[in-house]
Amino acid sequence: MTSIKDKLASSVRQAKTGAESAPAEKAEVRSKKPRPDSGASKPAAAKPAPKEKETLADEPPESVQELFPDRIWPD
Amino acid sequence: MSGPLVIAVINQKGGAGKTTVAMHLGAGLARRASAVVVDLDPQGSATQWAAAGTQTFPATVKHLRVGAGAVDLRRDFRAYPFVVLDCPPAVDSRAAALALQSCDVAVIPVLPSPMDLWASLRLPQDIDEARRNNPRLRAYLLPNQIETRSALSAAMQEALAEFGLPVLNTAVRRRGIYKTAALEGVSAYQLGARGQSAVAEIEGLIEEILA
Repeated sequence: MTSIKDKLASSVRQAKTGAESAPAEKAEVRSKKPRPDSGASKPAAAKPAPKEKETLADEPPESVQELFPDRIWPD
Repeated sequence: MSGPLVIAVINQKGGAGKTTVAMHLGAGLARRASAVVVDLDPQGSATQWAAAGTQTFPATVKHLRVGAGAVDLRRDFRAYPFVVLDCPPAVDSRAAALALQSCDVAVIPVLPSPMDLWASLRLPQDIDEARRNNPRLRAYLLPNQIETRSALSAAMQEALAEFGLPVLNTAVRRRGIYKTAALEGVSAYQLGARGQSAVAEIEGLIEEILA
């Protein structure tokens, strides 16, 4: 059984990973914007989205990113 | 040392005990030389604390609203050898940014609770950013409101290692006397034997900061 010490440290580690990946995801959304022919690279760029699914209960559909590329959906 | 020693008590999380720590640092430092607690929090808790007392609070307490104009904390409070900044619970506020740019030491109180630890995780990044303009900045995590018999409190050290910031050896315990002090508008230093244990830990904290 995991001790409270391990649980607390791992929860902080997990939160830290989430906090570090958030700015990276934001930057990726921004970097998509200037590309005029993003059609070919779409599947690769959209890859991080499933990761978010694990943490967000009501996630906006993926098409939102195409319609409103600058928008950061509230959690 | 040129100018005052400026200590910012900062954490974006509300309820981390910033005002209690700031007021007691101010009170303890005032025993060494004159000290001012600058209340940067719009809620003005430190100001209210000092105003509530029948006795004079050992440190001067000044409320400062940081607006759009230029503020130079080191210059404005140069008459005091010790300046303690009680920061608002938002690191992205102008006041908190100013505090990090102006201070020599940032003391970050963190509570032994998962939510508080998670909410404080942005701080190392903010400290790094502040160091670009303020290379003298030293930052320490302060385990605050520690409960001796709590497993969570005992688990703190390992969790704090994830922050990548040095942790002060002194931990501040959860003590009713701090609340009493706020209610009476004084510091634990003025509460005689009742405040003795609290005074001992605040003195330990001050010695570490001044070392």
